[in-house]
Amino acid sequence: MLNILFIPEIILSIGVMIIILFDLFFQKQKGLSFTLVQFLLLIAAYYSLDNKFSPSYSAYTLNEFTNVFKFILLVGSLTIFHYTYKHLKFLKILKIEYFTISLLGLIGTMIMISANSLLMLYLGIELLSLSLYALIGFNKKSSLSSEAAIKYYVLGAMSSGILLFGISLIYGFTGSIVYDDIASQLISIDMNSVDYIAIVFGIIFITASLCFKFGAAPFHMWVPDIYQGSLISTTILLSTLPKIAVFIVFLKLYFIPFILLREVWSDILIFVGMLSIVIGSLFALTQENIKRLLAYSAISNIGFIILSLGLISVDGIHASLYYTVVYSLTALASFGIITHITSNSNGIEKITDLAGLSKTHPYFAFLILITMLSSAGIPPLVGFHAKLMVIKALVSSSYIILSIIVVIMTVVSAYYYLKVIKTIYFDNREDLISTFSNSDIILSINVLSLIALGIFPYLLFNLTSYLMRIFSVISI
Amino acid sequence: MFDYPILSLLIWIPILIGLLLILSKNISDNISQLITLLTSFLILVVSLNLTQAYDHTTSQLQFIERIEWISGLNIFYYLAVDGISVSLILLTAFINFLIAIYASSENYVKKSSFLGYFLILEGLLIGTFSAFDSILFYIFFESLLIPLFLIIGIWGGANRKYATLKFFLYTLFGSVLMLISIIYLAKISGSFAIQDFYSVNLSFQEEILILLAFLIGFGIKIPMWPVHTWLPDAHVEAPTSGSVILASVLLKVGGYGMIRFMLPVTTDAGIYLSEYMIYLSLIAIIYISFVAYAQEDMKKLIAYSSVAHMGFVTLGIFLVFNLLDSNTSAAIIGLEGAMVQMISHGLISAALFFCIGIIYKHSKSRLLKDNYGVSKFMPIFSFMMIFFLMANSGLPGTSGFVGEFLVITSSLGSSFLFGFLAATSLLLSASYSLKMGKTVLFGDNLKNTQGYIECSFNEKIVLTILIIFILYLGIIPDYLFKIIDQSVIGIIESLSAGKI
Repeated sequence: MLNILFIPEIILSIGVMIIILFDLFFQKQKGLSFTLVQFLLLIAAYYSLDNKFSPSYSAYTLNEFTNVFKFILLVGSLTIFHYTYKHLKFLKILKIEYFTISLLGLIGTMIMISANSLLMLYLGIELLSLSLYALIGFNKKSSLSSEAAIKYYVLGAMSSGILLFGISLIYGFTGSIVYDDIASQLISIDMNSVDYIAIVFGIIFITASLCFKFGAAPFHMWVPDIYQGSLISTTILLSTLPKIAVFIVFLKLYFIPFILLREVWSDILIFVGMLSIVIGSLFALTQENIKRLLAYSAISNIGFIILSLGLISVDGIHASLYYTVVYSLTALASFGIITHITSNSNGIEKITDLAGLSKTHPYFAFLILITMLSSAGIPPLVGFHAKLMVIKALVSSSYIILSIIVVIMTVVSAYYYLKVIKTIYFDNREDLISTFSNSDIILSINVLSLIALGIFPYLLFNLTSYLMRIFSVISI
Repeated sequence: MFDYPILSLLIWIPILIGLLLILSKNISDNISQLITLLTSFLILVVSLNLTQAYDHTTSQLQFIERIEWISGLNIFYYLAVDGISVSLILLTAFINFLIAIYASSENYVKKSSFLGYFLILEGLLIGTFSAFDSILFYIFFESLLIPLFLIIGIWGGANRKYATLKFFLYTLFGSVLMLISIIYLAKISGSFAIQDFYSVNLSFQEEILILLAFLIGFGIKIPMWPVHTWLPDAHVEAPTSGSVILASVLLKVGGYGMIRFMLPVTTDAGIYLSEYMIYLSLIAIIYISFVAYAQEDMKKLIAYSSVAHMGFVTLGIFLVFNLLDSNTSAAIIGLEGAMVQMISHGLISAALFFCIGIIYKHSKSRLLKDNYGVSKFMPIFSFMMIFFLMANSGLPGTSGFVGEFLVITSSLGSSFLFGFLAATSLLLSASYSLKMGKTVLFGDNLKNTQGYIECSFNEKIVLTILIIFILYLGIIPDYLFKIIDQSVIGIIESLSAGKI
C-alpha cells in the first residue's frame, strides 16, 4: 500500500505527462491513448476512496468528505469523457490534448475541494480556469467558440483578480490564509473595528468571485454565451465539474472560517440564490437554442443550491448537498443525450432540431423525456426530491414567501422543459435526425438512475446524510 | 383480510405492465390489447375483492401498508383505504376496464404505448386514492400529469400542443402551492402522515392561507369556476379514451383531495369562508350550465357540463362547513351527496364521451352543426345516448338524480336560497342535454351523407355495462351508501369534535 498523501492527484499529474508523451509518439493510436486516459481515471478513482490520512492545520486536507467528492468527480469525468470521445470522433476533431487539458482541469477541481488555505484555493481555481479557457476555444473552426473563449478569459481573469483582492484583505486583517487559523482569529474580532469592515469586504469580494465561477446571477452573463459557443462536450464539463468543486468550496469556506460572520453572507447568498432562480427561469422562456436553454436552467439550479446554503440550517446544507448531486446527474444526462444526437450532420443547436425525435429514435426521446421531467421537478423522478428538500428547508426556516416564489418559478421553468418534450413528441419534421448509435449503456444507466433514485430516494439520501455527519464533524 | 399487500399490487401491477408495453419494441397490437384487457380485468377483480373484504361497519383505515421510505425526512410508504377511497378505486378499475374494451376496436399509431400509458395512469390513480402519507399522495397526484400529458399530446387533436401545455401548467401551479402547505403542516405536526395533520393546531390566519392553497390546488383539478378553463381545451383535444379517463376519474382526484385534506385540516377557516365557497360552486352550477348551452362543439358541451356537475360535488363538500354547527345530519347528507355525485358523474361522463367518440369516428366532426339525425342510422346507439343524456340531466331512476337530490336536500338545510339556486341546475342541465340530443340524434338529416354505421360489438358492450350500472346506482344506491356511510359519518363526527 502506498503511504503517500494525495495519491489521486499525483497519479493524475504523472499520468497526464505520460499520456502527452505517448500521444506524441503514437499519433495514430488515438483509441489506445484514450484507453490510457480512462485507465488513469479508474486508478485515481480507486485510490481516491482509500485516502484517509488527514493532517490537521495544513493547507491541504484529506478526509472522507473530500474523498467522496473526489470520487464523484473522477467517475463523473469518466462518464463525460465517454460521451466526449464519441462526439469528437464524430465531428472529426478528436485530439488527445482535449483529454489531457480536461484532466488538468480535473486536478484543479480536486485541489479546490481539498484546499484548506485561500492560496491553495486560488491555485486550484486558476488551474481549472486555465484549462477551461483552452477547452472552450477548442473548436477552432467556429468563431463562436473563439469568442466564447476570449469572453470567458477576460471575465475569468477579472474575477480571479477580485478573488485575490478578497483573499489579500482577509490575509491582511487576520494574518492567516489557512481556514482554521482564520476561524480562530475571527472569534476575537470586535464588531465595531475597522478590521471587521475590511474582513466583511474581503468576504464580499470572495463571494462575488465564487458566484461568478458558479455562474449565479447577477454574475451569470457569461454562462449562456459560453455554453452556446463551446463544443457540447465542453459544455458538459463546464456544467458539472466546476459546479461541484465550487459548491464544496462554498461549503468549506463559509461553514468553517466565515461561519462567525454568518449574518454578513447569509442574506447575500439568499439574495443571489433567489435572483438566480428567477432569472434562470424567466430568461429561459424565450430561448430557442438548446444550449442556451440548458445554460439558463443551470443558472436556476445553481440558485437552488446557493439559496439552501444561505439558510444556514442543517436542512439547508443537506438540501444543497442533495441538490448538487442530483443536478450533476441530471446535467450529465441531458447534455450526454445531446452529444449523441446530430441533425443534418451538425450538432444539435436549436430546440426545433429535435422535432420528431420520438418517431425516428424513440429510445433517445424517452431519455430526454425523463431528464426534462426530472429537471422540471415532476415526481416520481429524482429532481422532485431535490426540489422538495430545498422547499422543506425554506419552510422550516420560515421563509414562506420565498418558498412560494420558488415554487412559482418551478412552474415557469416547467414550461420550457415541457416545450422541449412537446417538440420531441408532438412535432413533426421531414429531414432525418441521426445518432452515432442506437443506444448507449452508460447513458442508459445515467438516465435510469434518475428514475431509480426517484423511486428509491433513500439510496441517495443515506449517502448525503452520511456526508452531512462527516461534514458536521469537520466543521465544528 | 389478505396475506399479500393488495394495495401495492393494485398500484404497481398496472404501472409495471404499462412500462413494459411502452418500452417493448415491435409488440403487435393484438398482443398488447390482450395484455391490457387481462391486466385491467385482473385489477377490476382484485379491486372488487378489496371492496368485498372491506369492513364497512367502521370508519377505521384498513389494509394498511406502512414502511419507512425516506427515514431522515420521516416520509413513509403508507397505503390504506377507507370507504371513500374504496369506492373511487373501484370506479378507477371499472372505467379503465371499459377503456380497455373500447380501445381494442380502435386504431392508433403505436397502440401498445397508448394502452401502456393508460395502465400507468390506472396504477397512479389507485395510488393517489390510497396514499395516506402526504408526500406519497403528492407524488402520485403529480405523476398523473405525465401520462395524461403524453396521451393528449401524442394522440390528440389539431390544437393539442396548446391544450397540453395549458393543462399541465395549470395543474402544476395549483399543486405546488399545495406542496408548500403540506410541508408547512408537516413542519408543525412533525410527520407527513395525513391523519397527523388533522390534529395540528394552526392559528386562524395560517389556516386561512392553507385553505386557500388547498382550494387552488384541488379547485384547479376538479375544476371549479373560475379556474376551469383548461378543462374544455384538454377535453376537446384529447382522444376519446383520454377524455373518458379525464372526466370520469381524474377530476375526482380534486374532490377526493378536498375531502381528505381540506375538510379535516382547515375546518375553522372553512366555516369562516364557507359562504364564499358555496357561491363559487353555485356560479359553477348555474353560469357554466349556460355556457354549456351555448357550445357548438359536443365535447366542449359535455366538458362544461362536467364543470357544472362537479359544482355539485364542491357544493356538497362546502355545505359541510356551513352546516357543521347547526345541522350535522344535513352535513352528512351533503357529503354523501358529493360522493355519490362523484361516482355517478364518473359513469355518466364516461358514457357521454364514449358516445361522442363513436359519433366522431363516423362523421370526423365534433360540431353540433355537422352531426344531424344520427338516430336514423344508429337506432340502438341513439337509444343509449339519449339515456345517458337523460341521466346527465338528473332523471330520477338514474344515478345522476341521487347525488344531485342529496346535495339539494342538504343545501335546503342551510338556506332556501342555496337550495333554490342549486335546484335550477336540474332545469338547466336538462336543457343543454336535450338540445344536444335533439340536434345530434333527431335533427333533420337532409344533406348529410356521412356514413353513420351502428356501433360495433365492443362499443355496445361498453355502453350497455354503463347503462346497467347507472340504473343500478339510480334505483338501488344502497350498496354504494353502505361502503361510504361510516367513513363519511366518521369524518363529520371528527370535524364536529375537533373544531374550536
